[in-house]
Amino acid sequence: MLVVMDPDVGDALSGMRDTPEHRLARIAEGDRRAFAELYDATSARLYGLIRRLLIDPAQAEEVTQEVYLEIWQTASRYKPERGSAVSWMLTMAHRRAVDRVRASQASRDRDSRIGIRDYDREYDQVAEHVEITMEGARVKRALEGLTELQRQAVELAYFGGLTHTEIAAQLHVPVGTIKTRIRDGMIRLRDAMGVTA
Amino acid sequence: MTKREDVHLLSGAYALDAVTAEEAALVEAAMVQSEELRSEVVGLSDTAVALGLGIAPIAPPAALRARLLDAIDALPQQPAEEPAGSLDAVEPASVDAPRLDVVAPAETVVAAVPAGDHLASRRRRRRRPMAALALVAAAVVLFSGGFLVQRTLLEPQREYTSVVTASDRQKVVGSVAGGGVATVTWSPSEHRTAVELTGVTPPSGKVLQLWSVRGDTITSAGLYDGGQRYALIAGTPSSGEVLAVSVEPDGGSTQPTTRPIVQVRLDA
Repeated sequence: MLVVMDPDVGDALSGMRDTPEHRLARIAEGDRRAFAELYDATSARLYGLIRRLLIDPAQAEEVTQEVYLEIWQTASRYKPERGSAVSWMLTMAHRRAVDRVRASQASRDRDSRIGIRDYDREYDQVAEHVEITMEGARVKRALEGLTELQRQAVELAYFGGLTHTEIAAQLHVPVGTIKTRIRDGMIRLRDAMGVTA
Repeated sequence: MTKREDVHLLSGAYALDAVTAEEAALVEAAMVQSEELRSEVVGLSDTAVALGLGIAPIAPPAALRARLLDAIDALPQQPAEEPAGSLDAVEPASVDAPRLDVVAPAETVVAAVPAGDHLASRRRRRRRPMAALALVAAAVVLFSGGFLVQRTLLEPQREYTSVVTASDRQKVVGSVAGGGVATVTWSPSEHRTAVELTGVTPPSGKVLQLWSVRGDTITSAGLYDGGQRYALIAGTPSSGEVLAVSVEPDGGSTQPTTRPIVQVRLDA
């Protein structure tokens, strides 16, 4: 019932037809070779996403390691009928990366306010990187369909790892406004990218 | 935040992981009662994945691959189905349990959600909304009235993350007799020690109990709830201290009554 993306998005974006889903099933049976194959097929995508959030290569590598260990441990829990393997893995990777961003952010906040500057930098880098892949072009087009304020809020949330409350504080805008802005932006993105539930 | 429409407005932030654990729990509880919200969250979560797919891939450092292939040798895998009472077990029956409206004010549900590995279970929940509903439903029944649970389970998540990401963290890994891995991480700056057991499930009616062993002095370091992914202990080990885990009767013991399944020497 989950993740029925436009088929050409799924294929083009995952870039591998001989499926991660099958490999996950083999991994669930303890197949180390399948794990290595899955890693080879997906690690650049996961590491790319995690590094986009964390910036720091060392931390990104650590989180990528955590995610793949978790994939090894929980492969049996993956249910193909609920969505693609890559979606499952990316969701896991994003969540882990956000956890790390927040942990680092918490320690930074104790010391200084440097965090905000980092996020600004990150934000710029995101825009730059999104442009250079084919699937990125599609995402970028969809993002361009948002208002500037919607796009900013969505990107600070997804790529910056900020909570909506933190975004509101950073932009000096009421929390309710940011909540609505993110939701409206996501609905517009969903419709633009042809995602159906 | 208690008003239903306010929770509904969080769907986008929830899909982007831009909510706190408490807010996530509110959204998940609200999804039980609203098919409209559930469907919206699913669609927006997929949209978030599409955003992730738009990021340029970057090849990770080559050493990571070898390290992972080494690591999985010692790493047990979870079975396909979770033990009774958990996510998969309750999935079909309680999906449409409308009586929850009566049982559970939203705050109570918050308390119930992390009944286990909350990071992973939340992740599963995001992938599997129907199962999520079932988990919330089951948990509500178990914990209705549990403000204390919220405090003891949600707060440690932050503490746990602080410990395992601290710059001064130290980590020791040990093998559990009969399979499984014990990972002990501590951070002097955080004054906390985190114990993570994977691949270990206590028999029914038994608990895992942690012990601090210093010389011939054995002190309980708390119980390891089977549903939890880790335990947190206040303080950090002194050099040479041993952390042991044994299987004990429900409620724990004052001294170990069985041979420890793992003993890890914690050398700073």
